[in-house]
Amino acid sequence: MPAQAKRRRRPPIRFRLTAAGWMFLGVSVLVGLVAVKSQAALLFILFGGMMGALHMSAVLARRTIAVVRLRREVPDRVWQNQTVHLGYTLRNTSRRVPGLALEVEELTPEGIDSAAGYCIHLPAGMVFRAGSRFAASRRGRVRLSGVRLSTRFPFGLVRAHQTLRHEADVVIWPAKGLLRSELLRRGAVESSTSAPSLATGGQDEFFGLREYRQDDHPRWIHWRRSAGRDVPVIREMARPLPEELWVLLDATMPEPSDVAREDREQRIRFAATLIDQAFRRGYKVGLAAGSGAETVLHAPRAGRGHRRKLLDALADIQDSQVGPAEMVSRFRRGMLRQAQVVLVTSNAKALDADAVHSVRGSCRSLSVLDRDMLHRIYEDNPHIDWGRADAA
Amino acid sequence: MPLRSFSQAEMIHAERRRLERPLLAMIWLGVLTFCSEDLSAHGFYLFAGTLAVGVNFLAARRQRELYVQRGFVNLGVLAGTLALLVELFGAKLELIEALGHYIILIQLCKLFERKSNRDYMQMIVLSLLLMVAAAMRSDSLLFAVLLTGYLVLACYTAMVFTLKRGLDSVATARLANEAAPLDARRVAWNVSRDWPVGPLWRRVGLVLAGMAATGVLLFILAPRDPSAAHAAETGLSGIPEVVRLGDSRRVRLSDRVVMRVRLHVEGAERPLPRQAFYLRQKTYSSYADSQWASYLDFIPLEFVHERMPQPPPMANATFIVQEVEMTPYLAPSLFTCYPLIRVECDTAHLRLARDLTGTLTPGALRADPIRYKVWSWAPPLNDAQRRYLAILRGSRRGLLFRAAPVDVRPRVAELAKEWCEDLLAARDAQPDRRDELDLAIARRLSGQLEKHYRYTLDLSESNPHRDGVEDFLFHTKKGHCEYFASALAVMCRALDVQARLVGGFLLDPADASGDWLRVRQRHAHAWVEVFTPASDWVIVDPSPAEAVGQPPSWFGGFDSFFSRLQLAWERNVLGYDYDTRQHLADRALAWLAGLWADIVAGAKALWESIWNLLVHGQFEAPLLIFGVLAAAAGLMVEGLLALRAVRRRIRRRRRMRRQFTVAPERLRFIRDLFRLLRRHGVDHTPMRTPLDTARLAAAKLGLPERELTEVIEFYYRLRWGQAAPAEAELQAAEARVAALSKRLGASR
Repeated sequence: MPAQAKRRRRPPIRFRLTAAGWMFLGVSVLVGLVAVKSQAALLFILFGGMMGALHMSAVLARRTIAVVRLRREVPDRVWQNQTVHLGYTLRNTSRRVPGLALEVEELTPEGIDSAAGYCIHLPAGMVFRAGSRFAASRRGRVRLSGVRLSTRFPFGLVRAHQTLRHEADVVIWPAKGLLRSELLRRGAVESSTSAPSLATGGQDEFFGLREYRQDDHPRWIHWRRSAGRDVPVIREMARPLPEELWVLLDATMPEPSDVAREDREQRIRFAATLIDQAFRRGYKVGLAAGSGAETVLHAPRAGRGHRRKLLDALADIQDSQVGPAEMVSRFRRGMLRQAQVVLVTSNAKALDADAVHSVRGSCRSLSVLDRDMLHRIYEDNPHIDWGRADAA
Repeated sequence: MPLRSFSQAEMIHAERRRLERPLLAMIWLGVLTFCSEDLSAHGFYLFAGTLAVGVNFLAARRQRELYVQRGFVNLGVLAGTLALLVELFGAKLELIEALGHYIILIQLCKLFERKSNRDYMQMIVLSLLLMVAAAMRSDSLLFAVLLTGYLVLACYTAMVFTLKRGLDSVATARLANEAAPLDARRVAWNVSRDWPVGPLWRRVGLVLAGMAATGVLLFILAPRDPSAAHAAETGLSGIPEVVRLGDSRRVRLSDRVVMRVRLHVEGAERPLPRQAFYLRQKTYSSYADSQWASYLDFIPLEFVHERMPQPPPMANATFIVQEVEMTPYLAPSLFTCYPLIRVECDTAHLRLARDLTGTLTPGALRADPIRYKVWSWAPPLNDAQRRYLAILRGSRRGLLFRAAPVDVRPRVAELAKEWCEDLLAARDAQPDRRDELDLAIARRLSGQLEKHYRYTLDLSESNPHRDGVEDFLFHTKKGHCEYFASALAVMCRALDVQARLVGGFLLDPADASGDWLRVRQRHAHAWVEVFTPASDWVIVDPSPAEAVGQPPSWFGGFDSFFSRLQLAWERNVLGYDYDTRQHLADRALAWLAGLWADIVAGAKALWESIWNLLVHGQFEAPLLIFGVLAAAAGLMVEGLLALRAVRRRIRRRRRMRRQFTVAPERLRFIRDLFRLLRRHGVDHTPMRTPLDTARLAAAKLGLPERELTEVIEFYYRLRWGQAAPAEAELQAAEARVAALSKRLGASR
């Protein structure tokens, strides 16, 4: 016989007088004093009525909160500077008591801009979907500790609230920007379809037709077969070997200043944008980056799971003391052999020449991007106020 | 004045009109309640408030907002402040009254302002403050009724405003990374479109019940000043213990029936004379300091057998016979018409005074009506009758009241002389016609009073520091029957006409139930009797016609009901003071003590019964009572549990009905089928689908598989299908199962 699960105790419902409630209380006390002074019967009744209103405010507010059960849906990954929408399912467990003016507020950590959700009327026994949202202004992890369910109904004099513990982590990936020029020239996109691929020495066999995907070259569209279809089809000559891309990210800051920090963040955003694009083009992508005193190393792989892992790693990057030379020293022989390597650093001139030479010799191609070059090929999203977005 | 349409977004998510309507009604009701205390003084404000609210209401109905430039609003506030100063220092109004006017003016200014949530909040607060100010000034029942209506509206408005504010804050919230506030339609999606009218009003009811309970509780328990004894500001119509003028209480009419009287004339065929309808209780002959007193220098007669001595036989004597049924609460008063000759009463002890009034003291405390029968001589009295009456009075002429002092103010005497100048002259000139002229003087005075003075029960304007008759005749010029009768009696005495005030009931011939005339408390009356040797005591009633009790019409019934309510309000609410609280507390404590004593005694008796049963085998009454009570309680609990089970079953059935396309009882055929199969060794278990069971049964019992599967598939359609089946199909399924049953039964 299965053991009976322990009944979870609901957190207590707490009360707080609002500003209007304090004023109301003050006026009530005043009326009471005048009643005692003047011995006017109606003033006694009025005083009692006002205290009754306060009391009933608390009682009704408590009753409203006590019958509501809440379930939360949280996205686990979002891009930086998007609005994170949280879904709540409010269920009224009572058969008679409706819920009115329910506010659902996510308990976000300090500094995070959030907006509550609202349910004006939750009938008895019914379910309602509400939502709140917060701005994912900074990359990293946001730990959501819980949800506060509150109401000021009926008069806005007393606020009853209940804090429900629902822990969840939301990983905020660095924001995507715009790549102005193609870094991934020799990527899988160009060597697929009917063009001879370098990997197979140019003697590709016809593999088959497939639907057109974004970034496919229109030259390889099979027009006859595409006639009458909604989506064009292209010839695929060989199952291409996915290209490998290594992104080596220098996350150090030459000086502890806001400018240096902003540069570092831009490098991280660029890395995220590049990784995302590479995955979409079928690359196997690997990442090497310093985070704190350690080097984060992820060998190139394909797939959504690996993409998530790399972007998570970028989101978690801390102030690093690991420079590119040390990063490179972590590579084993042959890890970079077939890969296209993009090294993103703060200052290319300050790089260790031997380390760079070592990487260039062991990979297929190496692109070193420092601050100046980054500005030429990459642009942050122009609609974002990065000063606010990256504020610590 | 520009008009601005409500934007679609506001209509969707602000629900503005839902707030504006009750808010406008609340504001208007607040103004009305404040001004109801004295409409003549506050008429302008009521008019202005009604106009402003009406205009705004019409605008809101057309989903428009009416507003003026902010500068004009500020000017209006400034003008209101000026008006406040003028009222306070110029017109010397009371502070609360002036503040009330000021609040009304501010509200009017805000009504024509472009409103946001902050303005709505301010209007609600101002309205509440106005009601607090009104409560400090007025305590009438009408105000209480208006206040109740106002509170209902205020609760609803405040709730709607709370909902609206929350909705607005969500709709206008903007995050740092969002270019614009959230789309109103998205908020509308996120919010139930149907406005919760029903739940809101139910919450209003709940809140008002809570407020009323707390209000009453605090009212009862609140500390009261022992020295601030509350004088009753109202009186009830009825027989007073003391006739005192100058009492500024308002008299409320009570329709309570206190007596039933049956009248007839004995000894002659003639209609009832007027005096038969005047039932005397007490006479008053001395007047001083606005108060009447009975002159008690005659010896009351007592009779051992509660019967008067029979008068000597008189030829052609005609009697007015009264049969009276009186509520005991009127005792010990005796009500008869004049002149009382004989009384028969078996249920009370009788005492008679020389003025032929009397007392009836019931033999024991009883709730039954007191019954007695009275004979009186019908007018006109002959000489023998007058002599007999004189003997009874103990005086030949009956002039008992020369020594009874009457405080006649000079102005009163002058007025009386002015009215009866000619009659006085005639009386002086013709002393042999004195009796006739005395009566004429009394009637002249009565006519003048009836003509020039107004009947009212509202004595709030009377001045208790002035002589009551003088105040009535020269200042208020209005009063009820006691004032009219007092004025006549005093003026008669001023002119040396023997008169006395008489109190009692005036019967209303129209208020009858069969033969019996109903006497109500509102029929209490005061009149004057004027004595002349020739006519004995003659009734002269100076009160105007409206003093005579009217039969209760439907409107009169409502008026009487409202009077009773007013009386209850003034006595129980406004008159609730320290003494009343103490009395209530004493009664509550006594009741609790009594209850506790009963419980202890009952427990003791029960214990003794149990002991007797166990030890002596005796079954006693307390045990039986306890058993019956316990059984009743047990039955009640069982009944409640059964009701709960029934309700649960009904809910389950309803849920099932919602799920099924047909009523669950029509699925009985499948249950019968499975029962049948089980009886023949094929069990339908949860591990098997119904179709599996059917196939197994077909194989094991040799039944036609196709028929069985068709029944099962039909059941599936009923259970999970969307369309309701035809009645014929249901019957066919039931028939199939019956046929299968017969087949299996036959095969056995």
